[in-house]
Amino acid sequence: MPNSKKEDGRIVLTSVLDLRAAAPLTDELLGLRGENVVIDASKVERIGAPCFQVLLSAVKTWAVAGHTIAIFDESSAFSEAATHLGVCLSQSDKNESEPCH
Amino acid sequence: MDSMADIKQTFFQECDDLLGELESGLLDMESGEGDSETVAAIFRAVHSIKGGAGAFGLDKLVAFAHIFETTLDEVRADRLEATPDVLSVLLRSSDVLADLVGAAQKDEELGEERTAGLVGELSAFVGASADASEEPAAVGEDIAFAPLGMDFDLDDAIGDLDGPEDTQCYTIKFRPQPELYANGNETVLLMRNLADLGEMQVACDESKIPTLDELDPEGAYLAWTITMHTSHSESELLEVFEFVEGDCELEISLDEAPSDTTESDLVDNEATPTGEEVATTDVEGASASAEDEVANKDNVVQLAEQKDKQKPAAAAKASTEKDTSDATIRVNLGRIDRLVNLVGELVINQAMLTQGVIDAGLERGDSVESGLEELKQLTREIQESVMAIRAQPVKALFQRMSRIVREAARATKKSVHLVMEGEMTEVDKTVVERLADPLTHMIRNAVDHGLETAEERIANGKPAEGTVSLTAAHRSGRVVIEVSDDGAGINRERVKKIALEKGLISPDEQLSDSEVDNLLFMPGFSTVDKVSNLSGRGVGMDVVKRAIQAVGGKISISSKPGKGSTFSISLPLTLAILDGMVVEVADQTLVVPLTAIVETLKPTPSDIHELGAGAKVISIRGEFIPVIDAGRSMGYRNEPVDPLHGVVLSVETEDGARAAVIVDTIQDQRQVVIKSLEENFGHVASVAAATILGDGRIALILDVDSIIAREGSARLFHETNLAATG
Repeated sequence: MPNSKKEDGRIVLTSVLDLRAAAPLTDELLGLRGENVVIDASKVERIGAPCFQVLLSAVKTWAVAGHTIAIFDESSAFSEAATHLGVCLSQSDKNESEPCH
Repeated sequence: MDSMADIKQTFFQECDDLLGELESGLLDMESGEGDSETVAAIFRAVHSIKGGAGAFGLDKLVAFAHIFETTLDEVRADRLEATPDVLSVLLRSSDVLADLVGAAQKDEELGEERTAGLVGELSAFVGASADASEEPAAVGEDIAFAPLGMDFDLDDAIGDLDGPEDTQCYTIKFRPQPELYANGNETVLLMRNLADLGEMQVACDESKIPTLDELDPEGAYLAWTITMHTSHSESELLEVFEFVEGDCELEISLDEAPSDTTESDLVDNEATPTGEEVATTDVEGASASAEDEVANKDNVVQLAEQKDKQKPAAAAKASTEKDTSDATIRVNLGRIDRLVNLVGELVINQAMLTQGVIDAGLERGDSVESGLEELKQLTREIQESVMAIRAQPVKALFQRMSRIVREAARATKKSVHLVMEGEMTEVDKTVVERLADPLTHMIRNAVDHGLETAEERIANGKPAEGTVSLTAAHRSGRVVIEVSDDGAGINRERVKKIALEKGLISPDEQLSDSEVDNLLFMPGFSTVDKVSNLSGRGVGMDVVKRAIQAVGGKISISSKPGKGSTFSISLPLTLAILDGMVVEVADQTLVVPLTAIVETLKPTPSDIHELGAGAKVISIRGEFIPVIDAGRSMGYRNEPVDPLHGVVLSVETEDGARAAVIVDTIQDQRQVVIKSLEENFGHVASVAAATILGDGRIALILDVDSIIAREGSARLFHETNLAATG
């Protein structure tokens, strides 16, 4: 099941990112290793903690590899869930070890 | 809450609970079981009473509570050691506080002399800073803010008076396991639900997140620490996690609220706190937690310092306990009684239905029959659940007794230690209420007559301090409450002498030790040579016995010379329904309580022995037991029935007396609803109560004890007459 459409290092997250979506999203991100990646979160209607874990892991992995990864155009559902979970997906914030919630 | 009177009523109900907590805590301290948590809890109890009393302008109560509370605060802050002397004063203060509450409830004034002495003693503990003469002013201003909380429920009102306690700060540590997600649960939803309960800050621990190639997409790597400012209780926070409890690590702890410190500062240090100050603190406390995280952190630091000084972990626990106890509702007793009555009617109706089904002659195994069986089970469950609503622990009753012991000890100048066990044993509320008077009398008796003086005790090689024990326990479907003392035991020679003088026994009567002891329960018997202030109030043990019997209970006594005496009260769990054996006697249907029946048997001719003058005994496994014809005893027939034509019910009273009651046939064994004869008709000898049977007829419930006692005394009278004439 495709999670997203790949557009030259660009991923568009699908609308429902529940537990079942976590593995395909992981695979998709793993396929983009070595590239700078931008992730479009505008279509997200529902996202749970497992997919945030995948995204956080990606941010960490990309940071270690010295590539950039950025999430843009967050839907309100995405932002709200991130706020509720207190997660920080900003690579720059992570690099500066600042609290992000 | 629609009127001030209602709110006031709730306040007094709250006071009952708080006074109970207060006394319980003080007793724990006295027995060495108390700790800083206990001190914090009793401080809060007095403080809450003071706060509520202030709201209603009960100045005397407030004034006394204030000095009491100040003393407790000294203990709480470790500036005053809780020595036995201090505890004795604190316990007496709790008694007086209870009296003040009682007087306020009745719109009466308690005499100054009741409080003056104690105020002096309490002030002495507090020291010069608590000059009693300054108290009224301090109190007056202390309560100036009280009316703030009057337009809503008293809990909230008191909460406001206590400070802005209604917003608590909790720290929730939450670490999901992979199973949480696998089971379809979602942290985002949990957080959203939590957010609905108050203001929260979420800190996500992302440290366990691995790189993508090591990541299990369905694993659980994130954990959260949530700081929650909420007016909801811990149990309500827990409810959010109800469905994920087994699939996560969860820890909810109550932080010391900034408001608490402020409030205790006001109480401790400010001589003249004002309403404005309290209100401002309230707002600041809320805004600090909501908006200014830095300020909040400062507060936390200050609190941490306070923690070391005042051990507020205790207060935190007390608050948590309060939260748990919040999960109760107060229900008007009348409503419960109505429910109990309806369940009684349900039981009767179910019996009628059963009778109808039997009369219809349905085949065995018919679906109606099995359905009826299920209905029976269900009815029993409903009945037990309803009874459980009425059940109350005897703790409150026992606590009242500790005061009686204190007062009795003071009056008799004896040193008495009260040991209580099984306070959480539950008994029907009505029973608990009606036990207070007889138990009070028994406790006074135990101290006044049971225990020797300190000199006598030392001479007998006993510790100078006497012990009175009050225990409660469930025993084979009944509740047994025992009052014991380690005194001299019953002086049987003296008891016999007095009984003889009063004509209660004949001179040549041979009485067993148990029979001598039971003379104490005879009307008109009193061993006191002089009327004391305590037990000699014209109330004898016969009155105690009647009071116990009135609630369906039985009382027995055992005593060992030099070792002490034990009065044992056995009570039914409920006054509403009993398990009984339905029997037929001379065409009348009677119910015999199942608890009294040891066994049933069909006698053979060799079992029955004549004892002359028409008296018979039956031999059961080598023991001779007097035979009582229920038909004659109840006046249903004049001619005695042949025991061989009937069924023998071997019955036993609470004090161990046995008899073989002859009935014609046994019909059934079932639950019957007790309908009081006293209330609806009047007392009838040998009859405990009545019930309505399945066919609508009324059946009397036998009072086995009374039948055995009557038959016994009748026989005694008969034999005495024979001896006199012979």
